[in-house]
Amino acid sequence: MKTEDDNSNNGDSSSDASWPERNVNVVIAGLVIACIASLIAQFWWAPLFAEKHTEATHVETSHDDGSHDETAHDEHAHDKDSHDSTAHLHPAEFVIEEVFGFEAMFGFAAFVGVVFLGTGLRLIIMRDEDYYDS
Amino acid sequence: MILGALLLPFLGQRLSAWGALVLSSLSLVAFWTTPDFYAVTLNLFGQDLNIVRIDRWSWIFGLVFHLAAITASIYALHVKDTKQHVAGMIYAGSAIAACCAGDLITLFVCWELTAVSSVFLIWANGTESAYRSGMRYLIIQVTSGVLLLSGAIIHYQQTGSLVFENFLELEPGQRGAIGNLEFGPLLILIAFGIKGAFPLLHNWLQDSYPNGTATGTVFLSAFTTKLAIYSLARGFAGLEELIWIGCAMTLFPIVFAVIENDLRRVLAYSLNNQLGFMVVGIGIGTELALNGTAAHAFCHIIYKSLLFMSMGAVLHRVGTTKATELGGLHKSMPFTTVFCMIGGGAIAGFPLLSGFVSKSMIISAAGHEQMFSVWIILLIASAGVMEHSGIKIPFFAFFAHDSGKRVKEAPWNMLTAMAIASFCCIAIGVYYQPLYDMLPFETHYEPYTAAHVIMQFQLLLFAALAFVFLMKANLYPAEIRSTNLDTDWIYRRLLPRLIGHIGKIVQLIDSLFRLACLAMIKRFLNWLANSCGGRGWLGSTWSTSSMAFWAAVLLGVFLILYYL
Repeated sequence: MKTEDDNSNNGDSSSDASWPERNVNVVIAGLVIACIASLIAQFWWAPLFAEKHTEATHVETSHDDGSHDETAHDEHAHDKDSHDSTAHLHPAEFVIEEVFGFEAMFGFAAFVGVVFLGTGLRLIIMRDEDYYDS
Repeated sequence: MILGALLLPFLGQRLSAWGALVLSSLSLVAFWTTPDFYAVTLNLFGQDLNIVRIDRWSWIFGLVFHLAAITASIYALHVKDTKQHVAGMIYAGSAIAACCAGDLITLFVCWELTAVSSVFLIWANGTESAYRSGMRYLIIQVTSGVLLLSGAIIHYQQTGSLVFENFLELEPGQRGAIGNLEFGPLLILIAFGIKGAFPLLHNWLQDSYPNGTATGTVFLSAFTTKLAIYSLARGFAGLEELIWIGCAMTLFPIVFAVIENDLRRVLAYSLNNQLGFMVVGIGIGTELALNGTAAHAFCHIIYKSLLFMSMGAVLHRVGTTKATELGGLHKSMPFTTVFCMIGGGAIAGFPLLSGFVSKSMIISAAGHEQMFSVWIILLIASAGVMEHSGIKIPFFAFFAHDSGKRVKEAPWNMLTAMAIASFCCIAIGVYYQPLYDMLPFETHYEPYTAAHVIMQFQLLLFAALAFVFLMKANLYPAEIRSTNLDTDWIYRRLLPRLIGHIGKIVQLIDSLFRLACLAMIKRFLNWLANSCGGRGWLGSTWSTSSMAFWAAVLLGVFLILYYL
């Protein structure tokens, strides 16, 4: 959200003098800080979630729930059957999500992968702009 | 609404735009006050037709179609072309009628009406390429309608029923394979697939939408494909193959979107990708997944029209949406920039914006069903959405290198429409409960769990970081004026060429054959002349004895044959 805010503020404030053009690095720094903040947040929240989960029977657990290891997974499936109505509360249940920073790495890698695929695809399918007109 | 649209031309040029707005608002009031589970049946040619059937599915789609029609009419207030308003209203009206249709024949009629009325929004652009593209669009859409009708007729002959319900007779949560489908429903599935832009059937979308008028494409983006999603959800929920079709749909357009230069075409690809999410949801077929599909369609219609509106505003002011020609527009169109970024954020699924509360339902549904590969694909697709809609669209249009273009801000009516849509995006993102209450099934889904929010931020922020990294490292593909081939190449180049080639080959074979025949006839004539002419061996005089000898031989042969 941070980047979103940063950029939209830029859009507003730079009607003649171009604020974002002069302050690209500020925007980037904001983004990097936001990235780090999101990692810290995960680090911060993970133990809290674990406690929550052990205290209550079924709180809104989530993917980075620390108490979920591979053995707990089966229990979890049990859980799901017995509380079918609350099962919708669980966003997703995969072991890999509990790896620290998984989504961060995944987002980065997927983005780069998609862009490189696109660049590769250009070799095959790119034609002149008026290809169909000629 | 359709009938009202036919009255619009009499209002004159200036008033018809307002007329469209009033009409869609009136229609919304009428729709709102319609009781739940309202149904109208009509007996036509001895066949009971369920013309109107409004249940929870119809309700949510009907409502969002109305909202889209109203914002699009506000957006189009400045347009003086009555034809476009009439087409837009008929189009919206028939889409709404289609999602309230209770039987296949009514559905078919509305289906074709949407096709025929919407093509005028493309043709209204007036250029040669828009005309051609509209023609291709019309042919493909009408084909889809014809398939639907044939499927409906076959289905009727087999089952004796025209009621539009799940063809697999599945309850939510059950799944069935495509092999269980009869031939009729299979045809209907293909018809829906064409309209829903399934992979390989998708290209009419990217072909026609960027060719529509600035305002027309806003209409186009809202109705046709979502009507297909609605129909799929009603007719084929729980069809397992749809999961994989949907996965393919989420993946391939993001790659195409990276390298596409026309930003409205990028949006068309991203539309295709979003449809993929919904199709996956339909395929999974649990209550959560179907709820996710309905919610996602609802949010999607709003933020996608918002994005198309912002690009339409750019088109209206600058005259092009090619990334190579744009850039630096945030200086002169600040409001449009902000609205576009809200739309981009919503489609990418930033928390507090509408995409987050709906897309996560579908992804969670995949996780809940322990479909790991589907879940991973949807995550890749989410990062991809961030790429093409969250970053590429706003960045290349409004930031990037300064194109030096200084245009006026968009007209007030466009800004109003965009503001309404932006407001909806934020409102749904923050206060999602009313949306969840409207969904086809009761839900207790909670999108804002701390972990979920953090995860989503990580995914999106690091994707954005990747963009910065690639830009800095000069690895991001530069914008190039180009045409990228897609499946439309098959019918725009391959088939005509193939037909041309086949023609040539036929011609070649034909001419060779003629030559050969002529040569043979010539040789025969020569031989005849040589042998039967005065000096030939058949034409010359022979002795009597040789004749008698050959006659005896002939008789002998006869005698032997006779004894055999």
